[in-house]
Amino acid sequence: MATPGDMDENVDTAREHALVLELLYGELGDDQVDDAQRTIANDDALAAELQAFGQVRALMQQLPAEDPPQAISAKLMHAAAGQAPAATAPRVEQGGFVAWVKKFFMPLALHPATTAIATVALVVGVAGALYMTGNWKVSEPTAEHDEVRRPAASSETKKAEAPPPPADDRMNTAPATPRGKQANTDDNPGTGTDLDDAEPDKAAVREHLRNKAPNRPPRTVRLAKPKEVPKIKGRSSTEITPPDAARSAEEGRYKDMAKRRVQHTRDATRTQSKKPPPKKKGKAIELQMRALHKKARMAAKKGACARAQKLGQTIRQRDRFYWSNNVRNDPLLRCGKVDAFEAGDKAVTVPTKK
Amino acid sequence: MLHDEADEALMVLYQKGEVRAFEILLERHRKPVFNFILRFVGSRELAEDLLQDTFLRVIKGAANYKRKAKFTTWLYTIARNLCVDQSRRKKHRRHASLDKPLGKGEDSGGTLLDVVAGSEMPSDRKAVSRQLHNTLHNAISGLSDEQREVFLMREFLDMPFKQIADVVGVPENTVKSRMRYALEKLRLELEEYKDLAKALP
Repeated sequence: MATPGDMDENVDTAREHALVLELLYGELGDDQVDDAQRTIANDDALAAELQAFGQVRALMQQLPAEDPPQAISAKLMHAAAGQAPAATAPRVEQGGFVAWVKKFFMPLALHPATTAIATVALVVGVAGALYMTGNWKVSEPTAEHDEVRRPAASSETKKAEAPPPPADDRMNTAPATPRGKQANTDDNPGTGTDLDDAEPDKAAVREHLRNKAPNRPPRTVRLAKPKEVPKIKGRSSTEITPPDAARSAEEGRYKDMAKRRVQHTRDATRTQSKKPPPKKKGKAIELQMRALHKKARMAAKKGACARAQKLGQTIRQRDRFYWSNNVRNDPLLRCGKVDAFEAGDKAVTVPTKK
Repeated sequence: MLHDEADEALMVLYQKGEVRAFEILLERHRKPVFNFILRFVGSRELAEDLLQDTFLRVIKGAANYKRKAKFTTWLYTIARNLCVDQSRRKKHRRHASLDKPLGKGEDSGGTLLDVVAGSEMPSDRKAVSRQLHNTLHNAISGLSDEQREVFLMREFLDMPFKQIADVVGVPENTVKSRMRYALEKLRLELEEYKDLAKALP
């Protein structure tokens, strides 16, 4: 039976044999090599064992290493190439927080329903922003748009947009509002001055149109139809073509007149429909206006038309209700000349009835 | 470049589909693995088949490879397991011994190993070398599987005892013990070449 002393001796022997192997195969550190050599040198058996094992190693080194056939390498490479996609491991996402956010939201973003909701939210957001900032405009079909859309009338439209011709050419025509100074509409409230300026044109325009075109159809918003263009030398009024050099000046003049008339009628109609009726003011103001009116009539009778017109404008500014009911249609105050106060600020002449 | 990368990095690259990384791994390890298998099983044809099987298992198991594991440990574990399996199967079959005389009598001529071995050396030196090789092969084949695998890994693959213990799956002291017994047995087998061994550098 082995005693503890024998076991310790066996342990020491195993440790010494392990020391021989480690020294033989160079697995000892630099500081351990000297101690191992000293230990082995003191023991003849260990030294003999180390020498014998060294000789075995020297003989084993004589065994040549053989090369495997290249065909095996080719087969293995073929197999590796075929298995490479299957061997692909899931890649680890890199990039930190951004990559995590992208990984989290990408499936949601790629879903069609999410895309549709995002699109609707974008459209509603833009519309809301425009509405809140006051830039919200919804284009409605108007006569202008119809004219613009008609390709054949493009040249005529450009003419209408051009500055109005000289006053000589505009004699006996309806007063027109320059396109650059648009009449007030629902979409474009404009200024109070524009409303006031458009007001006096109304009666004159109606009167003028009754005289010039008694058989014209009822007015609508679409007044720019070619039917309203007068026929010229057997030419169909629907044929609106760009003016060529051969066209006579009279033809162009008539077309301008018709165009201007249509434009003015449209503006006047719009303005009329939107113009609020003047309110009646107090009795004291009415008395004052009557006195001014009386003065104006007196001046007109004396032939001081300038003073009469000035008084008329004063009445118009102070009490529009009195002016529209009493002064506006007073034939005495017209003096048979230009009705400046009625035309307002517009430099447009209105032909008077003879 | 890829040639400077460690085995583990190359294996990870191959996991990502880089076939070139596997080519480098194959180039590095096919020769030592082949010699390990050849000296373990003692048959070139068998060694070629087992070499092929070893790397095919590496290819198929690449997806499960973890970078923490040392590639050579994993590779030689596969090769060693294949060799052990082959050795167990071999015990149930009859194989012609490499050192068995081809003729009926003991003195009738050379052995099977003589036919298989190459013939690049001069005749007298070639004869000595062939004899030594035969003796060495026989000595190695005479080791038990446990002693042989440990001896081959330490002697020809230059694997530390600790790594051998990882491959074999036994404690390091057991590996050293098996190694010592293997060397002792080989010393006895190669006793006749004692003088030659002393003359060798």
